[in-house]
Amino acid sequence: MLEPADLRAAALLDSQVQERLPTVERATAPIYRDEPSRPVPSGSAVMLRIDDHRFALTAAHVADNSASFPLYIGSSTRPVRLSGTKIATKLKPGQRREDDPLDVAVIHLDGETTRYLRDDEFIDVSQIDAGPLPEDEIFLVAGYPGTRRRDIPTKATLEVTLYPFLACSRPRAAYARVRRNQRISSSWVSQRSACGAREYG
Amino acid sequence: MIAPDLDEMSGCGVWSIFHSSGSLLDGPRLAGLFTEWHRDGVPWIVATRIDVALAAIRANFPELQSMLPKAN
Repeated sequence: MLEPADLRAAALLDSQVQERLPTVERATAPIYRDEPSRPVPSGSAVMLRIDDHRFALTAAHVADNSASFPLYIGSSTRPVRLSGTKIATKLKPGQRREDDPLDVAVIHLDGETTRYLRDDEFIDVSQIDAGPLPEDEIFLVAGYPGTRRRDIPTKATLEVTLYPFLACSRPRAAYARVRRNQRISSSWVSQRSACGAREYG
Repeated sequence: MIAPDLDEMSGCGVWSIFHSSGSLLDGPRLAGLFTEWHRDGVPWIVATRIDVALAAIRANFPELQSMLPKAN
């Protein structure tokens, strides 16, 4: 049971985080794969612009779907075919993507995709935090989980809702213990942060 | 605590919202990408730091090098 002071603090944090959500929402896009019968939610991406270049940043296992199906991103106005050059973390011979310790893809968007995307749907490099990240820090996570989608067949529409929550990073040692139980190599630990997630919003 | 299924969140952003001093940043900053989630006991997620994506951009678009944050 939360004390009144905790509830007040939670309410204050909630209002402050809500103020920051529009930026995150504009730059976060759902990704769909175009299967024969209907679009299927496949992942999320963050849109980044650097000079005249436009990128979609996502997980490699999401981008890998493009080998089987065309991918689309949900822009503010319409679904846009995701086309461009994919750069993904390399797999070693015989390695599966699920064993990829980094699992990151950068898609350099071509003109056919960017023509339908507004500039304010991208963040720029000033909105990147590439510095050392402390442990026990709170982060905002926001994407488009499949459970927050709604099919509207009469309108041939798939409606999705951004799901934001706060997560707290944990010491790497805590993560290492979990991974060791799952027999994953320690190199994974050196590159990643572990987070305990808690629902937000 | 009940957390929803987070499938299809993969690839979304993990954003810094606080200064190290504890005060809120003026705006969110992209710190990582969500790649994995689990729900064994307390739900937890895995993210890869944004430096990995920046390193890929740096390697493939050297003309953008000077505009990117310095590598750690």
